[in-house]
Amino acid sequence: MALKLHGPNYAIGNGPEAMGEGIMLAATMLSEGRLPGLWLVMTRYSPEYIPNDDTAGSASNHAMGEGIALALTPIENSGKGPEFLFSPDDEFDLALPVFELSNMADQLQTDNPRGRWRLPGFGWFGIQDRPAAMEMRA
Amino acid sequence: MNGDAVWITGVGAATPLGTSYREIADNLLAGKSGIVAVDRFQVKDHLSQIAGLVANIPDTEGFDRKTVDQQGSTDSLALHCASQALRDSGLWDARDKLRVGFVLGSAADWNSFWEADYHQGGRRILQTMTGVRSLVHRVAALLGTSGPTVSLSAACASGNYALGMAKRWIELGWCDVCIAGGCDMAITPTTLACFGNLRALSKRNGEPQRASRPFDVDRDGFVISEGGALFVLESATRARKRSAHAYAQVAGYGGSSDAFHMVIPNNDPGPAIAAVRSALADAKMDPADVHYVNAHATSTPVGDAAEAKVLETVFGSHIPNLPVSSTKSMSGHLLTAAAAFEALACIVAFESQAVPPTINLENPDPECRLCHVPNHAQERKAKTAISNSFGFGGSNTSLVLRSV
Repeated sequence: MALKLHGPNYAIGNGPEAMGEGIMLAATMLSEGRLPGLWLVMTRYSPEYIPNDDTAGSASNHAMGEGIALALTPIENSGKGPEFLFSPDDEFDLALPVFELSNMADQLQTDNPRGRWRLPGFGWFGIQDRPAAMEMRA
Repeated sequence: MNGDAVWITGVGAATPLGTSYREIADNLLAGKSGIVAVDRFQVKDHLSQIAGLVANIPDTEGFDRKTVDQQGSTDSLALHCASQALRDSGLWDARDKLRVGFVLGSAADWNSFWEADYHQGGRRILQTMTGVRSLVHRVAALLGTSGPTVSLSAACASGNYALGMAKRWIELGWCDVCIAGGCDMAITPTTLACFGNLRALSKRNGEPQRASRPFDVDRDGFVISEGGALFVLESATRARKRSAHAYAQVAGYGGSSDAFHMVIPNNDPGPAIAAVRSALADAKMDPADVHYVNAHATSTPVGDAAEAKVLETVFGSHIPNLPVSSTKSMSGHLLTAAAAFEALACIVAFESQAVPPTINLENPDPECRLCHVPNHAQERKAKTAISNSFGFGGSNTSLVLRSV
């Protein structure tokens, strides 16, 4: 609403698997070929926000908010940025680290972002450098 | 990816109109209301005191209710709907050998859980819940399914998005079959108060069964309801191979956002029109190809008239002969499960070749110039249907179904 975006939008997931769910549905929507691109916005508290037992909504702990917004475009579109890879397959290297928002954020701030993570629940997700386009391949 | 059609081969539901497909179908075609006075909690201070309740969620064979409901009754509801759909599809015994995906539209389970806990003296809202899996993952674990599993929420539009995503997963080959739809058990003191204080709900408390009256001049708000409807989707090739009964093809869907206001419908019908047209394009259909519209029409003064304008614009000269009904007149508004329930109503129309009515439609609003189906089901050719769901926050969706 704040960005005045008129495309389809919805909230995804809750719980430990939420990040993977968001990535998977972003890949699903882009694979339809109907959108020129989409925003994938992932947020979390770490540690979890625990309210005090009052009406002020104050936190009982030092909950830190983390968030990342990714502008994703289909592979056909040109642009700059790394390539994002997603696979729903269960068959992947079990040595892959579990996806963490902060790890991806760290990678995206490097000159040559790269990484591959297991998604909580299913599949894997990766970033690899690709100078010509920012992509998400399903 | 293949170009195969995606079919619905199993249905599971629990709603104010029944807890099986057959019971719900019979009640829809009979024009029966499922709206009652709320007796689950004290309502004397609420503006709206009526709702569509699921009084008794059926037990699911092989599962202990206390174990299932550790996070609240929405778990039992979703488990019932999913297991019923899998059994109906004939895939129950094969579920652990297949990649069974699960896309669930839901929103209120945490609110309901914390609220119920609070009323029982608990304070679990003040405790860390980081490790607790979401509703869809809990139910998938009970079912023993292992395919991709997600929950999504777009308010009233959730079920249509869920069916659209599930269709795509089947097309991409990400799962063999997919359970999809929506479930919510949201009739709680807080929810009733919130929607009531928004002045969104009907206050026709003395006449529950006459309260939900979409398109009628005397409508005064929607009637909140709860329930769920889940479907089993699979490719037509797979379904044919095992001689499965097919209820319908999920032909297409479309979505858009108003980006206007959190609760007020947009004055500009453009985004909603875009959603319907996008769905028709996805299904490769023209407006003239549509035989029935299951309207979102919730019985609010502004929303119903706005949707009528959308339909007039999209269907143009076809509108005088295109039957439009709102089954919310009977079920009330199932919130995140509404779209899935209304997909079920379209399937009923296909099966019976009769369009479920809009009950309580005594004086059609002149601002809603549509081909209504007032009060009684009508025998109609029904081979294709669209179902609109326009959610709070301005989330517009339309689903296209085709009979098989």
